[in-house]
Order: sequence, then structure tokens, then C-alpha cells
Amino acid sequence: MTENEILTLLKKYQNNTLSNQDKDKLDAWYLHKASTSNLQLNEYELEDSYEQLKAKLPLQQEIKVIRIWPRIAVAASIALLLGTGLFYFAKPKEQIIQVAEKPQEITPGGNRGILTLSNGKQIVLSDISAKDTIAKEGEKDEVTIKMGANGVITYIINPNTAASKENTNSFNTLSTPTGGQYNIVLADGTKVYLNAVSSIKYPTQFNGDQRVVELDGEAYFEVAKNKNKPFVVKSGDQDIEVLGTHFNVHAYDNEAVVKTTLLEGSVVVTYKNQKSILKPGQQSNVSEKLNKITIKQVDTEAAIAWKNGRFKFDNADLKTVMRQLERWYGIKVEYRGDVSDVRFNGGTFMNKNLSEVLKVLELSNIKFKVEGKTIIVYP
Amino acid sequence: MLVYSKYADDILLDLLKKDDQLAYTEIFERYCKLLVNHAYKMLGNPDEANDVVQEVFLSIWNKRYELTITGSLSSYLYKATKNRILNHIAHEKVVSNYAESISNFIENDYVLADSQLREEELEAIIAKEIELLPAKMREVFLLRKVEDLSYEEIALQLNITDKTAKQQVYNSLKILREKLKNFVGVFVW
Repeated sequence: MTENEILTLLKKYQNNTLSNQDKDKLDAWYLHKASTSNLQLNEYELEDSYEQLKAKLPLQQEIKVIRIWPRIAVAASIALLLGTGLFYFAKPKEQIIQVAEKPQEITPGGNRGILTLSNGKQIVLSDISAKDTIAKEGEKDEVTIKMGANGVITYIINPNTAASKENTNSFNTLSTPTGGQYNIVLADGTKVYLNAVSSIKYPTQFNGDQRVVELDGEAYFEVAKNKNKPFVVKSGDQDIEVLGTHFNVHAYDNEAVVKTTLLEGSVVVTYKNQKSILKPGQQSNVSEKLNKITIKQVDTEAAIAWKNGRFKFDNADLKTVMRQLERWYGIKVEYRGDVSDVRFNGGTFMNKNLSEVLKVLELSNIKFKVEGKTIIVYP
Repeated sequence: MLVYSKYADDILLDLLKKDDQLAYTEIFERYCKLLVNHAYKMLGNPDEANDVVQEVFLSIWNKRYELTITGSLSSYLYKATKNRILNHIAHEKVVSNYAESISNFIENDYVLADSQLREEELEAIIAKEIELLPAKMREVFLLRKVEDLSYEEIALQLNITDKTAKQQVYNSLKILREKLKNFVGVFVW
């Protein structure tokens, strides 16, 4: 074959006018070439490519940067500046992409969740309509997972199959993406409201002498009373132990402080070797920086507003508010100038488009500029 | 993001179609290095390899609302990369570097195969290229992929029955995952 013949072959391949046989030949050559090539980039060259591409693609920069230095807040904030800087320089390309897109309202999140069964199968809950049974769990199918009319997931244990005591290792995970919230009723009747970008791992039935769940992100719990089986919520180094009560846990891995707010009853918060008991209306804060539990009186309505479809701010700082908006609207926030002393009070509804929420926030002497899905904040 | 790193490829794809930028970022995190290395294998130039992979990722973001992917995300990404590499080769100045190889292959070694077999070959190459990644990266990649597996797939990979896999998963998913990490090298790749 001459070079010209090969060029013709390749051009036809591009135009999709190549005969099946010739296409197959070319594919076969490609696979042959790929599998016999000895070329290989080393770890450093690959890392270098990765960093270069990261700066050029429309990725969610901030969250990625934090993941690289998950525990060092200072390093993370420097990286944040660096990350936004890189993004800024890569802007021309980004703008070309955005011109092609229609400018549109940034719409709020909704009922979206993903259920991971004990066999590893993942189910997108918003894709299935309310129907009786989603799946069965347990060796003898003793647990039935159902979806109610409003999408709520419930776990029902078949009373005829006595729970085998050994079968304690069957866990499910409910998680929410950006802009998703989801509600669930666990096997013991405990109600869990899961906020955006969060996940909760729990056993499909509570067989041991404790009811233990693991939480990343934010959730509101209405724990079913059972004096003999304490309910424990684990988030990082913090454990919350309760017998039956209502409380909110805010434990995002990109937020410095883990906040537990109690509405009813009492809870014991354990962090490393320290213990504190919360009374209704109180909130505990723990962080790696402080390395201890601090307790204060708060506006509990603000802490659980999200579960009632509201944003409510009680002297909230700008960055905390913006991170909340990032999780709900899938936006990216950049800061220009010093905005460190801006505080918000008041609130609005979570089912509004972003532009309306920003109008409310602008009442606090701050300006926003929307560029695609990036929100720039000016003092 | 912790939550996203646990999502299987097909879930990420589903979220991407709904304009989820974190899902897109996670796909990039999973596949960037693998694809750059693959493109380098074909092109022999790191800058060109970067350009090709950049185009692939930009294109899936720009087309996110109308993406239709049959088969796995990994084979889709490989095919998208392949198309761009072939486009690149189709330039007059570049084609001469490949002319001899193409012409030799097509005239001598070629045996007609069905497309199913081609698909399997592609999967085998992806697996082989994962194996060639530097050890630490491979580990991270495999860990993520292991999270994706259902017990049917685990059964298939470990060459055990569904029932046994189910039992093992119930007994201790953790131990199975550890095992799988070791077995993967032996049985699959």
C-alpha cells in the first residue's frame, strides 16, 4: 500500500464511509500496534500530564485540590488559591466552550439518590418510579427494600424468617450527588434525611447490641427509641451515641468543623478521648484544628432548614454559605478581594433558581457575577 | 470527593448526562493517566498524547447531554481516543511514520475477525495497560474498579459460582476485596 492509499483509508474511516471489512482491518492494526508498543511514560511524566490537563479542562477544581491535602487546612487554602489561579489562566479555552452553550438558569437540586446494595450493585433511585420492591437482602431474603409513593426507601424485615444472629455483615449505602437529597427509613424505624453530596452506610438489619451507621456529609436523624440498643453515628473521629432522639450531623470532608445539633432528647458526642453530653438547642463543634469538643447554643432552625427545603443563615460566614450553594446547584465559586467579614442572616427557599438566591444574598453588601457555572464573588 | 469516588462508572456516566461536574471530574481522575499513556504508546510524543486526551475529555463534557454509550465507559473512552489518534495519523506529514506498519499488517498478518472478538481484544488491551501503570497508580485504579464489581462480576473474575460469590460477599466483603486485589493479577491480567 502506498502512503496515499493509507491516507485515503484513514480519511474514509473519519467520514465513516469505509467498508466494514476495511474498517475491521484498520481496527485490527490499531489494536496490534497498541498491544505491541513498548512505549511507556513513567510515573512523573504521567503526573505532569495529569497536572497539565487538570488546568485545561472544565473540572470541579476546588474539591479536587482539597482531596490532595485532606487534613491540612492551611495547605488546602493555599492550594485553593493556586487552583483558582490555574483555572483563571486557562480561561480563554473555557470561554470558547461556554459561548457554544445557551446561557440558562441554574436550577436547584431535588430528590436524587443512589443506593448501593450489599452485592455492590448501584441503583439510581430517581430513575425508578415508586414501586413496591426494589431488592431483597439477606441469605434467606429476610429483608425487603421498598420504595414508597414519595420515593422514600424503607427496610422491612420478614417476621417469618428469624434473623440469623451471624448475618450482621450485610450493609447498604445510600448516597446523594451534587444537588440531591434523599429520605430513608432504616430497619429499626429510624428516619434519615440525607443532604446533598453525602453518604450513609448502614446494616440492612440491626442484629448486634448497638445500631451503628457511618455518615459522610450531612444528615438529620429521627432515631426510633430502643433503650437496649443505642444508636451510634460515626463520622471520621467523632461518634454520636443516642437512645432515641432528633438531631442533625454536619460532617463534610471539605468543611473544617463537624457540627452536631440536637433538637430533642439527649446525645453523647465522643471525639478521640473526649465526651460531651448535648442538651436540646445546643450544637457541638469538633475540628482537627481545635482538637476538642466545644458546645454552644444555636438557632436549631438554621441547622435543619435544609431538610425543610430552606436555606436559613444564622450569622453564617460567606464561604460556608457558598459551599452549601455549590453542593446544591453544582456551581463553582471564585473569590475576588477580601470578603472574610461578610456574614449572612435570614434565608430563602431551596427550590428557587440560583439567580434568585443570589439576589437575596446580595442584600448583605456583596456582589456576584455568573459566568457559566462559575460564580465570582466581589466585595 | 469521597462520595463520587465510590460510584461505579455507569453511575458516573448517568450523573454526567445530568450535568454533574463532580461526576465528570471523577471520570477524569480515573482515566486521565491511563489514556495519556495509551495515546503515548501510539504517538510516541507526550505533548501530542496530552492534546489527544484533552480533546477526548473536552468532547465528553461538551456532548454530555446527548452522550449515548453502549458498553463500558472505559471502552468508550479508548475508542474516542483511538478515533482522535487515527485523525492525527491521517495528516500527510504524520502518516509516513505509520505507513510501513499499516501496510505490512494489512497485507501480511491480517485475519478477518468478528467485531465481538475485537471488543474483547480492546478490553484485554485496557487490562494490560492498567497493569503497566506504575504500581501506586495501578493500586488506586484497581481499588476503584473493585468497588464497581457486582458479585456476578466477582464470580466471573475469580472463576467461582455466583452462589459462592454471594456467600463470600455476605461473609466478608472486605476480605473478598483484598483477595480480589491479589487474584486480579493472576487470573485476569
